[in-house]
Amino acid sequence: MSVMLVLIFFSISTALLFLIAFVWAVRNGQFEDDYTPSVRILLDDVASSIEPNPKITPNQTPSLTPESHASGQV
Amino acid sequence: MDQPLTGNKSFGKIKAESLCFHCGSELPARKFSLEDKSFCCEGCVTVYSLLKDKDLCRYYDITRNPGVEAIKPVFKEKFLFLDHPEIRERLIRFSDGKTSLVNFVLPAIHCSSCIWLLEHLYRLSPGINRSVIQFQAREIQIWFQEDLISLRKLAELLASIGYEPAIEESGFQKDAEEKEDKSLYYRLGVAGFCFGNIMLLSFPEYFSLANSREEGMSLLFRLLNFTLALPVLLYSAVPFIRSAWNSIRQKEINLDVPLAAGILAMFFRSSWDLAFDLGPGFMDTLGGLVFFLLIGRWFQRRVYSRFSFDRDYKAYFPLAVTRIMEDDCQEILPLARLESGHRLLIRNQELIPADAMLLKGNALIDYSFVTGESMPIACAEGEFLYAGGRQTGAGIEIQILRPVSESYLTKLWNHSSFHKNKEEAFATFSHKVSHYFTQAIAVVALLAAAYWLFQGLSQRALDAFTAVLIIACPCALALSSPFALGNALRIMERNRFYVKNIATVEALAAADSLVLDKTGTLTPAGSGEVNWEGITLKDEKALFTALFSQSIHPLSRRAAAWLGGNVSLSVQEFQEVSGKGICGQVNGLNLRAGSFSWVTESAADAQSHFSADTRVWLSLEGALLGSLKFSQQYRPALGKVLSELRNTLTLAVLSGDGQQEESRLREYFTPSEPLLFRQSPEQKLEYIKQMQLAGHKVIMAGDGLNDAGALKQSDAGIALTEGNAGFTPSSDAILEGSNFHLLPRLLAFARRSVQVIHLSFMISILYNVTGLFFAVQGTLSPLFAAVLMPVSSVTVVVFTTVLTTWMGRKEGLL
Amino acid sequence: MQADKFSYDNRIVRLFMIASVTFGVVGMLVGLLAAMQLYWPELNFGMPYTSFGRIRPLHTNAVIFAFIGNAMFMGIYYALPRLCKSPMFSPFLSRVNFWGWQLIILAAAITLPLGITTSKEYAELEWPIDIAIALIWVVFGINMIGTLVKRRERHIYVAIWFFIATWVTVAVLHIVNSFELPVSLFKSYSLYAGVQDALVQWWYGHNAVAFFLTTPFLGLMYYYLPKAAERPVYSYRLSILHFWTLIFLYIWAGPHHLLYSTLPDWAQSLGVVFSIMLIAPSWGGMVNGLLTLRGAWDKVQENPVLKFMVVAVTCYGMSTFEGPMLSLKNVNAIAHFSDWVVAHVHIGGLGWNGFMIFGMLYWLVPKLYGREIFSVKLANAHFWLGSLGIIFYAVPMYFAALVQGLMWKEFTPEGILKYPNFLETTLQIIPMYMLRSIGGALYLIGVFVMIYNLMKTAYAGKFIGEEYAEAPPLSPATHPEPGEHWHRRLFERRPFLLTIFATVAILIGGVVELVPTFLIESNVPTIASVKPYTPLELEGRDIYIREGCVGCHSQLVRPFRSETARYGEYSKSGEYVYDHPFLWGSKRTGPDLQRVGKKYPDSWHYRHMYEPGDMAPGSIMPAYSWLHENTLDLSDLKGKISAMRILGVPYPEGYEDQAEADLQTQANSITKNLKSEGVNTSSDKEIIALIAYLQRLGTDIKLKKTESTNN
Repeated sequence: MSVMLVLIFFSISTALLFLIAFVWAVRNGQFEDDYTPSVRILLDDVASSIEPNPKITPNQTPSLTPESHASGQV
Repeated sequence: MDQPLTGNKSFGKIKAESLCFHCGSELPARKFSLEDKSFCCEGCVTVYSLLKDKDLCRYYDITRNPGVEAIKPVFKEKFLFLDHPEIRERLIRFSDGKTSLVNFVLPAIHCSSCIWLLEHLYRLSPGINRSVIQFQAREIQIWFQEDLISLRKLAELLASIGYEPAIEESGFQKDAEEKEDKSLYYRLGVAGFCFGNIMLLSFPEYFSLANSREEGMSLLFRLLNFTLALPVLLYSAVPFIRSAWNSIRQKEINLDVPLAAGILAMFFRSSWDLAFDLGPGFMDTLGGLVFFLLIGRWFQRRVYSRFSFDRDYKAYFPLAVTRIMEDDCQEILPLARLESGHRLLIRNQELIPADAMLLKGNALIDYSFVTGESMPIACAEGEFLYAGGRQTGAGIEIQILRPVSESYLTKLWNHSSFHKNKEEAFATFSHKVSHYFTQAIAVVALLAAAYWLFQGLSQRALDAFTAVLIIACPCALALSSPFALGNALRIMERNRFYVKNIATVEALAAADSLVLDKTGTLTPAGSGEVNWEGITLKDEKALFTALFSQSIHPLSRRAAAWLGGNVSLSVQEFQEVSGKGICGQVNGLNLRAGSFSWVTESAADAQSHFSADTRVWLSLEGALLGSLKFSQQYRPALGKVLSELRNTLTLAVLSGDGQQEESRLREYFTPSEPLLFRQSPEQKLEYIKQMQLAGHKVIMAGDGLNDAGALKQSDAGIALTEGNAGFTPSSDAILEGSNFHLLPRLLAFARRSVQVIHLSFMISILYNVTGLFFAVQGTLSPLFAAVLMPVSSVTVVVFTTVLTTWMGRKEGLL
Repeated sequence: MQADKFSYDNRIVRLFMIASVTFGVVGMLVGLLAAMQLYWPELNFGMPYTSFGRIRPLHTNAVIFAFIGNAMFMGIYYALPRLCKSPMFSPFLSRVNFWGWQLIILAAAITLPLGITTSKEYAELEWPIDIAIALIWVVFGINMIGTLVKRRERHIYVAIWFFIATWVTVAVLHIVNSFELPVSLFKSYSLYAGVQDALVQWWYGHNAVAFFLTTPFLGLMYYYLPKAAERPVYSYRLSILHFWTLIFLYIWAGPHHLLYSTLPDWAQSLGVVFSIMLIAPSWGGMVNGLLTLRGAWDKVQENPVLKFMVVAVTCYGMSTFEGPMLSLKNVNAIAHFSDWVVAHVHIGGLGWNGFMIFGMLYWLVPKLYGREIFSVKLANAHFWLGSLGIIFYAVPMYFAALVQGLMWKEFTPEGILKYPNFLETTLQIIPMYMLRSIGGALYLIGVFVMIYNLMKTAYAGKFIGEEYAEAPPLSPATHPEPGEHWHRRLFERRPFLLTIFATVAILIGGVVELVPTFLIESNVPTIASVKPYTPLELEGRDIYIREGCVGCHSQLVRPFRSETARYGEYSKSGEYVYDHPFLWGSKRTGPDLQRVGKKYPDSWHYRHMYEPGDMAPGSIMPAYSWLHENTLDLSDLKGKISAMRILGVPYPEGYEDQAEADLQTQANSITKNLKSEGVNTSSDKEIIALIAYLQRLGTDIKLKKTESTNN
């Protein structure tokens, strides 16, 4: 059954290939998060209709005025 | 992990109109409106308009009202310390000069909208390249360009949209465990690969390859088998062998000892067999065993990186403080470098890092962290301020008296109970069993060997000896508790009860008494009732709402909320005297609110402003109207919960606050049950210790930092947390306050799960006995072993998993 | 930071969609035709091109590679870019992939009716097409891997892993199984002979099912099911575990197709064990799929997409349970060669693949045309038609299998076969065959309903050829710990190139491995009396292959009393050493032919092939009258002889030149013999060659019983 050798050879090498892939995946941190990806695929990345305008820098993001400071406390 | 991500906080019934478009909390009397949408607070409005401006409104389509409730306003300087190079250095995980990578924990992450929004941060600032969420860890990874947006601005940006990063010491040392993480995966992969192929190559032997005309083939197969078995032994099995070795060195036998013995026996016996062509050997059993064991470890490993179970006080304090130099200019000082004598600036909402003395300003310190007491305390200059207090109101200047580590609060951590590791202290059931088990096996093996030697069959003796070790290798035993309790952990997690590890489940099951903290445990934190005692209010409501909403004092805010008029009226000559009260003119009328003395302008003592039962008196044009009485409110159905708990546990209450609530608390407890007040953290700890010395197994449930000692000392400490804040002292388990009512069932479930283990242990012992019957005769066929091992393991695994799930159902936890 | 703006190419998706549906209809029509021929042989219109033996492979190929294959590409070309947040690596390659694949299908559609076939199940296409398949497959691979390398989403979603696995394994399987030696452009002989050929073929055959019909669709399930249900998969952890266990076990399950064959016992049992073990990961996947919908069954109520997918997943569960059961020796003893296997594969094909595809279509078309589905009612109608179709197909087949399988084995108290005449058992199950074709028809009607529904949807909407999207680029510094060892760099920077290189390396290594293995004198136990086929027999055998006789007649007598009593001495590996390719077959619609040689006079065969009904009243075998007119084409004879010699068949040197003469003499003797039996025909007809081959079958060891039988 020499052909058995061939099949074993191919099967083991294929399995080995996947082992390598597995090691890579772990090393690459593919399995560090085993939840979020399953959610992420549900959220389509639709292109934003407006061009994000470069002028805006975070210090212009609404700094907190005393009122807003006060509101919502407690 | 499967919390359904259909985010909105289940206001199912209530019509959307009555909810804040952003955060979904119920709209207050004075709601904010923008376009056709209405919001509960200005914070929500701000976020909404920001997102709208950046075309991020999809945020609101993915889940209804996804926003974060009551966005805590962050005072301007809160994240100043991130500008300090030392701090930045420690936070930035990677930087190539241009792009930097930082990880933040954002406790507010709770739904898929959060994921979507936070992964689109790049639209909010040109400085942000990319951001990735790790949902379970409540963690965000951000790649950003520091020349465009500083670390501090980044934090502020996140805070401004309601996702304030929780930056704490413990956040730094993560990488170590990640490494461990990975090695387990590698070991699994290797074991799986080898197992699969060894099995393939072993079966031919079992199916009479040898006596078909294929010797050449069978030799090849055996060689391959041996080669494939090496990585299993030398890599995948290492953790078990190592731990066995350690436990032997420490003279206390754990379950890994017989496992390791089995593994080694299998390997060498098989190698022997292969070498001298005595049979196919047990390599496939070996592979399977290790593979299953590793699966077990993987299954049982539960990392709630979103919670840190062993925080110490450092977690509560800022990483850095603002120091005032001699020349009165300010510098940011990493907490580690703080020394007594330093002058500090403590701003609104900032914590006092160490015991200090008030130099300047109106201190209104909220000690709820430390004592659980929810009412802020006013302090006069020169007064002593305890570490852990939080300033509410304008900034103050203080002088440090003691270094952080020796302060009132933090002394607690020098206590012995913080140095012993609970896991070791608590011998799990499987530990105890494995003790006897191992000895028994050793005896049987030796007897068998001796017997055959006596018969003069040395080979047979060797066979029997190894066979015993192999067959007795307690694979099923080792798997039962990981799977039973691992599954239990999951079921508990579904009920927002996050248990540190499986040892804790056993501890919870074993407990016979439960000690409760009051504030934040029996009462939802920050909640309270307001009762009006006095003439019925009509137009006054509006007037006083206006007045109160000028003050940021917590009581004022609650008063305003309770009165709930609109704030359109303007207030003239507003004045707030800390520790006394407030006054001002509305519609030309003079209003005063505060302590009796303040309102009546008589000379009663100022402190009565925050008297035993907290009252705020109101007067209009000098005429006393009455008083608002603030009192605490207990968790819904508290009585029922307690009586359920009583069935199995003896109860006690340790509270940090004053006596004032005792009478109301008594209503819930039997006279015999001790209710102790004004308990210092040490006293709480001591109390627990005494109970334990009296032979009790104690569960402590608390929330505040002041319970930390008790939680640590107890056999199982349960910390309560409100909503997403998730800021808890070190503990063994974390329960979301909203699910407090489930506590009795959760504990019952824990007990049942442990019973499941006991059963499954019997099963696996049965398997072992059957196996041994053959083993001792030295006639153990590899095929038999190869079948018995997986069969026993699988049965046990299925049995435990199914049964625990069923138990969960029975307790109504699923 | 400006995010990259890019667009997804929906046109390629639509192309594959159209192709899939079109060929789906064709394939099913052919299937229906074949099914009806089984009780109405005249339906072959007396033409060779439409006779059962030739259209059966046409049906299987059309359905597997055209319908399901195109649907797979459709699904992947839609899902992959979105999962990678990057358009496909090369639109050009996408087109090459598409048109190349369609050309291959076209070639198949032409060659198979012409009888150009290797006769290896699911690998019938001849060597030029095999090469084309390999090339297109590589193109697909490059396009996929390229996309992965350019991806903007760091995490590789589990679905993609399934796609990669599909690509790698199918590549390996296809190449290993397609080692064949060309004789002419349209004729080749398998490199392996007899038992070995069988083993390779079924290693391939099973894994083709595994990795072409299962893994890609599991991947698609993990994408489209959550999408349609709008909730994440029940447990992503489990799905990861599912993938890796499947990968490490599936590859081994092949040999169970050869139980009781002359394959060594251990190799058979091996197949069984691994098949059994496969239940675990397969069901893991099913459970994961179904639990995804827990608490959302109300959605399933109103959403046809989910309905289809639920049934699909359930069918997957059923057939992955049934498969291992079938591989149990005692079950197999009855089920093998019977219609049970047919039912089994159709549960998988109609239920799992078909319904998955329908689900995907009902979800995709509205997305692609930006409008709701035209009619949910019709979709539901389709759902019920389809489900009913499956039931009407499977149940009669199971019944037929049981009835016939038992009849084959039934003995009278006197210990002789109760139904010695095979035809009796066939006639018993004709009604079942009729019911089956009704089931098929129902299913097909459902498909037409769907097509109408989808077209209405498409016309009402507007096709969105380009879907614009944006995503921030993958930051260079993704990994906190910079890997400096070479292997790390290899792993982290160029993982996918690595995958490719490794595959290539394996293939080369494999070939190197192969050559010696096959040039050594066959290490299968040889039997002295087994002689190579004479040139005429060889030609006859090729006709047998061309007409696809193997589709209905096995050549493998299993070691059961029932079979030896019916057919004669059970088969030995040694008898097949010169069979390039093997012709064991997998289904007994007609009796086994291993020992048919010398059983009937030449004239019987002559008449039987001309009009089966005359010899066996009620026979459902189609007539092969054209064999009686066509003159035998000897142009390739020389080539065939030398090819066989290369493959190790001991024809003496230079026998090519003598071959034709020998052929003539044998042909003449047969014609003379026929004349004596009252049949007048010329010796150059194809039928002569076929008779020669049939009369030779299994006679080698029938003559002298005193043969050292060893296997």
